[in-house]
Amino acid sequence: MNTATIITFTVYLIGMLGIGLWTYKRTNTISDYFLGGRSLNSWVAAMSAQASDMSGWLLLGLPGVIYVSGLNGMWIAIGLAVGTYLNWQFVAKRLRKYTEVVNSITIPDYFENRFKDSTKMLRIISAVTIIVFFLFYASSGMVAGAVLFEQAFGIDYNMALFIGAIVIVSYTFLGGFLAVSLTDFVQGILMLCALLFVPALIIVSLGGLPGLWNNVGQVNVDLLDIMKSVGIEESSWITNATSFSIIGTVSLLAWGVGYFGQPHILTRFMSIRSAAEIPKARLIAVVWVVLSLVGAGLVGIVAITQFDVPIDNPESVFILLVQNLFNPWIAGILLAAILAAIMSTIDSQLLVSSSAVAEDFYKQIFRKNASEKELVWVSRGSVIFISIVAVILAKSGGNVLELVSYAWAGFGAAFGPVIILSLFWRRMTKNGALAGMLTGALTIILWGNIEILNNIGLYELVPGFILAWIAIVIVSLIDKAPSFEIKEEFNRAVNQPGEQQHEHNKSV
Amino acid sequence: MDYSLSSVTWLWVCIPFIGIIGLSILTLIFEKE
Repeated sequence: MNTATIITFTVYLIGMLGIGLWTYKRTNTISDYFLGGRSLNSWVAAMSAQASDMSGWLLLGLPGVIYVSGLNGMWIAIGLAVGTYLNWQFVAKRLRKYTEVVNSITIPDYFENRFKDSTKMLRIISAVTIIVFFLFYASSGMVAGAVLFEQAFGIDYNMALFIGAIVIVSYTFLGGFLAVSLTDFVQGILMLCALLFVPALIIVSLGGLPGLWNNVGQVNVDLLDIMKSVGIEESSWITNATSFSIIGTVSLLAWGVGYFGQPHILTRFMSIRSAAEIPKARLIAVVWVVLSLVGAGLVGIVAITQFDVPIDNPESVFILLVQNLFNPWIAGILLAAILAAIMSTIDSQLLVSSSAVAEDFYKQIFRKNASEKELVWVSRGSVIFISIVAVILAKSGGNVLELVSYAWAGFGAAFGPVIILSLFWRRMTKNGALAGMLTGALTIILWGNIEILNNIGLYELVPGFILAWIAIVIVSLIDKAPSFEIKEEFNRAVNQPGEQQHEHNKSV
Repeated sequence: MDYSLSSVTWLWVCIPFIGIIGLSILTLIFEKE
């Protein structure tokens, strides 16, 4: 166990807890707890959306994919970058405006109010979807955190899991959204610096980019070709016989489509101070995501030149590079960036899940007249309860990447088409939304279990998204047209100017 | 032997990344309510 690494980790974790304590006093209402009172400026909203989006996957998974398959793995980065941009361009502003017009602070809240659903079916189905998928998503993050603690400090896995969970729960519990957004901001900066610093130093030592391409090319020239598929077999990089695959590439690119349905990212759009801040936030977010994806890709590429034989676990390339090449003090900071990536995603997911429990079940079904203070405490209790279940799931093991891709597809298909069409199509109806949500979720659940479909090798998000979209359109057109009130509200949300500030949200 | 990236690879990587940053800058300048 390295003392320098432990000290940097500890200082970092205390800093995050300090932010939680600082924001605790500023959190009085349920809107404060879940949306920070819609007070985020463009910098914090943008960085928070991106840091919540990119989990430990960015520093472990993506460099691992590119370490194994070369630049072919960049398709997934391209898909994610374009998805990020489209989400900020087309969804962010309308969702920000619409959720204010219909006075909603959570995604299920928005669905119910957008379609004036008095049956509460939309709210309940979407809240259940959120709780179920995020349990798995959050537990996969806790596993990743435990692996990091285990590798960095050599401590027992269960102990590592316990320490990570305590820290994450503490500041989410205390400060809610504001704490999560502010820590996300710090974590986003740390992640980006680490992803640029590590490959930059190695590239300089190799004699710049030409030196890098030469070193990689000597291993296998196809690692440098985005159209060639490479893999590791018997300790060397071999070009795959099938080479470039359309289905494989579409599957990688399709990750970008998942963005439209991720509740932990969409809530960031709702929380921004004013719709007028969105163009600036969009630019900040897009620059961050492009730099960090390129950085993560370069980590994978430079790692090919740094080890004599391919390493056993490709996902640990970043950790091994940092431990082998850097002074322990610097290594401690760089490894804390992995923790930052994991924590900034889980905390947001815990918060959205707890909002589903407090706002969508407790308030709606059990205690209609619950006070603001009561709801904040129910939410805090839910954070603890959901974390305990996530830790129990994490203890039983499971493949992190498979769980993440499953949850990503689940949200992308169940919510993505519903969100997009609800913001752009006046004619969409409540039953259309229900049909889309159920079709999307069921396609994801069934696809992997039907052998003939699973064997195609297509990411289930692609059929899930398309079928959900079709279901919404067909059912809405068959259905009775929406009421005058809903259409009027749609017009107001779409045409409303975005300059006004939002002090009145303090009283939401 | 010297190795380098093919122009196809450069284009596929650079166009989407630079494109979305460029579009974000343009919309920041020109997007009006």
